[in-house]
Amino acid sequence: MISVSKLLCGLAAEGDGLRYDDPSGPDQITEQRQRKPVVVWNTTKGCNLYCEHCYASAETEPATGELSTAEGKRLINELAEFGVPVVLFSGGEPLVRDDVTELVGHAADRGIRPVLSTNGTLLTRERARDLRDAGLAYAGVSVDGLPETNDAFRGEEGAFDAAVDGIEACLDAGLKTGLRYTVTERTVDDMPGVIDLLHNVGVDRFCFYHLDYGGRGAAVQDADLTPAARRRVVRRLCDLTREYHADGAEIETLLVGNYADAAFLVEYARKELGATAARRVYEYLRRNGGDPAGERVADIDYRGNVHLTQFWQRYALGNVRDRPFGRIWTDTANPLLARLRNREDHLSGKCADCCYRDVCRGGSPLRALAVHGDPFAPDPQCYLTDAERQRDVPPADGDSPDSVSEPAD
Amino acid sequence: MVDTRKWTRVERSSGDSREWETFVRPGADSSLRHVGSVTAGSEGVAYEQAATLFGDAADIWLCPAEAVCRYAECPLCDRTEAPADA
Repeated sequence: MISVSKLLCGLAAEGDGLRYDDPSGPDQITEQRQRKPVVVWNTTKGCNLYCEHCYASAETEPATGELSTAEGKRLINELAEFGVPVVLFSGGEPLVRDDVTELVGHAADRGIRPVLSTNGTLLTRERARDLRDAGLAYAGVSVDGLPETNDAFRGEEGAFDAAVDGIEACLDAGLKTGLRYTVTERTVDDMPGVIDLLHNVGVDRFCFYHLDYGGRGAAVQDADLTPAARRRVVRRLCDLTREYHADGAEIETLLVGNYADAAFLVEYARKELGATAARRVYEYLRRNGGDPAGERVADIDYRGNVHLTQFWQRYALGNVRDRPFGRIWTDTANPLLARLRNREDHLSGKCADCCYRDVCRGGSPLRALAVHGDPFAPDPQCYLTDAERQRDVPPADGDSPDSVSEPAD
Repeated sequence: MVDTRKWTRVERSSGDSREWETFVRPGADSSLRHVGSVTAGSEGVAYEQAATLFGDAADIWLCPAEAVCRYAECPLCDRTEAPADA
């Protein structure tokens, strides 16, 4: 997760400490990279919508064998003892479970920051208040496009309006609430309109996800952006963020799921803000650590299987019903886990000698696996130019902003 | 006489998916090692997935997850629900 608003506009926000190790301010740069993971818990496979790109391949009904309330509380205790800082309650749609508020409260009581990923359509005012009272720290509501686009993508007419009602319910309850938006060919044109609409509703945090090829996301690869289109949309988001901030609207914008974005942000800063700013951006992103698979993000699915991230649903390291999460996550006798944690030594192709491999670390191993059959092959969605991959980094004072040119389409 | 009470039989389901416990022998002289599971509708697809993830392995074994009897020293069902400091 890359905070565009922090890196380009200096907007510090809750969560930046996790991303950049800087709870005390912008000068607190440390060398520590590895930390306890944020855990995504897919509490159920059931969902009231049927989205085309759902990484969890959610269905209309919960699956057999889902973790019970009691098992969930035991799991949360273990995560707390292991030092997990954040649990993201996800699904399916987590609000189809009647016990989510109870589980959120249990996490908060155990010192874990509970956050929610939801489609928003089941968020009534009463439920939002209950979640707030239980200690929920943040609700991320998924919307993919303006009404027509979103409802087609999510398989239900009225889903957009219901999600906006849910967002308003959260904001009325005083819950920090943000947008989750997957950028594809079908949703990209609506992006500025959705930011504008939801900013007017009161949302000030906007997370943009690149499509990863997990679950049903693997079946809609043809809807993914081309590398050139991806570059344009990331540039547009950088420009939009700076325009909002220049107008006094301090929105928080984040990019998730493609660490070519990290290198692009350094290039963008080099061109638009100068070498000093570009060096600062580079240092933050180098510590951020690139793709988080097997390191900074873990996933536990509805049946207790532990995955490298939430998008790696077809491969599990182990199951928390058999073995405590901490033992599974620290077991580097698993050769794939060991290689991911030392991935710089295994990157191949154009990644092997890319100057940005310290900030990108090969991009998404899942996309590389889906397209090349090798998790350490280059991410097929890298959009850096050959010239950018061969620059001197960190940026030096002598770099002229004018020396950075956009590739021709 | 072995005290089998040390272990608890773990009952778990693969949900609606077909899961294959995966074992690899990292080198020709190594012991076989459990490395997790892959989810796939058929043995062929499961093998393909395991092979792309563990391409350096000398051997790959797959076993339908439902065929495995699991006995664990510290299963989730035996762990405490109440906070440690309660």
